[in-house]
Amino acid sequence: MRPPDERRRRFEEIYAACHDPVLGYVMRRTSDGHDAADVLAETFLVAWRRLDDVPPGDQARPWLYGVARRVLANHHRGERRRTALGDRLRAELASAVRPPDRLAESGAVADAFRSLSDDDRELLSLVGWEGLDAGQIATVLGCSRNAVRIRLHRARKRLARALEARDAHTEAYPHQARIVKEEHA
Amino acid sequence: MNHDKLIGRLAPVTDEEIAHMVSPQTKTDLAERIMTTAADTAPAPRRRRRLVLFGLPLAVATAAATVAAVTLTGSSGSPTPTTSLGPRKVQPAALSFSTRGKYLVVKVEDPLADPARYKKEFAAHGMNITLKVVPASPSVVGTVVMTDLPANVKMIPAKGKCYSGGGACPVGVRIPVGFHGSGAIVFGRAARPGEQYNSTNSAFAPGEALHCVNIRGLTVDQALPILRRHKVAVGQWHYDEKRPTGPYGVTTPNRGKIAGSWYVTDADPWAPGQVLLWTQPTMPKLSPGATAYQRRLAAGCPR
Repeated sequence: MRPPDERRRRFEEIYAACHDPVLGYVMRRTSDGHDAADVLAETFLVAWRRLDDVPPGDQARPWLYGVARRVLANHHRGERRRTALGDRLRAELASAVRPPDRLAESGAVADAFRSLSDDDRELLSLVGWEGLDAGQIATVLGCSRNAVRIRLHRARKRLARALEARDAHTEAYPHQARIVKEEHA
Repeated sequence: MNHDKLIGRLAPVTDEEIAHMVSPQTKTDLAERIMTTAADTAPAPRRRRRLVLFGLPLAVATAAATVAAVTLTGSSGSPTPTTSLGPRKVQPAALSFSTRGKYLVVKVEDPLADPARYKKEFAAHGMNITLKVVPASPSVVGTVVMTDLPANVKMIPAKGKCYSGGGACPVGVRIPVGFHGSGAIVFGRAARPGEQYNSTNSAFAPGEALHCVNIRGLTVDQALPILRRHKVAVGQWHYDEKRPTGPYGVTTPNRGKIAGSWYVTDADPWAPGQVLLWTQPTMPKLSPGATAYQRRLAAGCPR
């Protein structure tokens, strides 16, 4: 156990460096500002309570993503959890102007991405949205780096296949593709 | 362009957008609030309540591994009568461990014990598990409110209906024996009088203070007599303050400038007999999703 002042200092450091990245991780995975606020508060609460378990340096961020991921899973699973911790944050995030959801847009890539399994999407998102490498993803998911490499390789292959299928469809039905484009122009 | 970049472009929110979503004040405020929750060292209460703590999971026939099930089944929010035991000479165990078939069942015997004692008793069984029990609103008592455990730990869902937002109300977890990672589980327990809830359901869910008492959309003047009739006090008020940086959520025990003509948009359980009231000066527009959830909570209420 660290002395109280050192605990505070360490937590403040982690919080300053990781608040925005963790908020980003959560906001990209839930459309509800209230949920995002609760998950963010809960994630840093876990970090505060388990400060000695938080890895040093750059590894803190993927560790926190891992916590946020589990908190989020629990949240989806059932608890409508409202700790008083995040009430102010909840109000701000609920009223924050969200940009249009790019994932909901049409387009071969968004469409192919949506067709993948949750696990594949999460892996590819951790790379594409959070910019993590295999080692960091291993920290998030709690598995080995090697397992991440293999799963990532397979997820990329499945995405490529899904994209090809959509390209082939566009070639076979150019007229239909054009209508879709016009609708969204 | 490679696929990672293509996916990067699909990100629902960019880092730049995130950077502007939370005001610096709120950011600091959250950190401060978190750091004041070191209340893990709260003095052990003198009155000890023993809950019936059981919820045996059905063994999965094919599962070869022995697993430990940690459950806490607070039967209700109302405390069972306690007998005064006088000064205790020997401290009873905070957890009990027993074997049922393929499961090692861990029961929380003392939901008000110091978390360090749970940790120690888990450690004596070779498990590095942090267990905490936090004050929760009545319908959340006895359920798992938070876990930080690897994927091989499974949730035990509650039997019967569940009224939390998502669908399942886990009442315990199954941990494979030989589990060497570290993990944390937080259960909800009944709150003591005046004690602020740490975890809550909707105030309108069955078992909660405002079940079948829909005050959403009413004015404050209309809502207060109804609350009084149901012996519910407003523990905290919430409203958005307009600031140059954007709306700023204020939660305060004092009603302050909130006028009787303001509208109640929502209520959260705050402490036994108290709610946190969400208010705003203009008539609220309730989103269809929220309304469907409210309808489900109010199913079976007299019209």
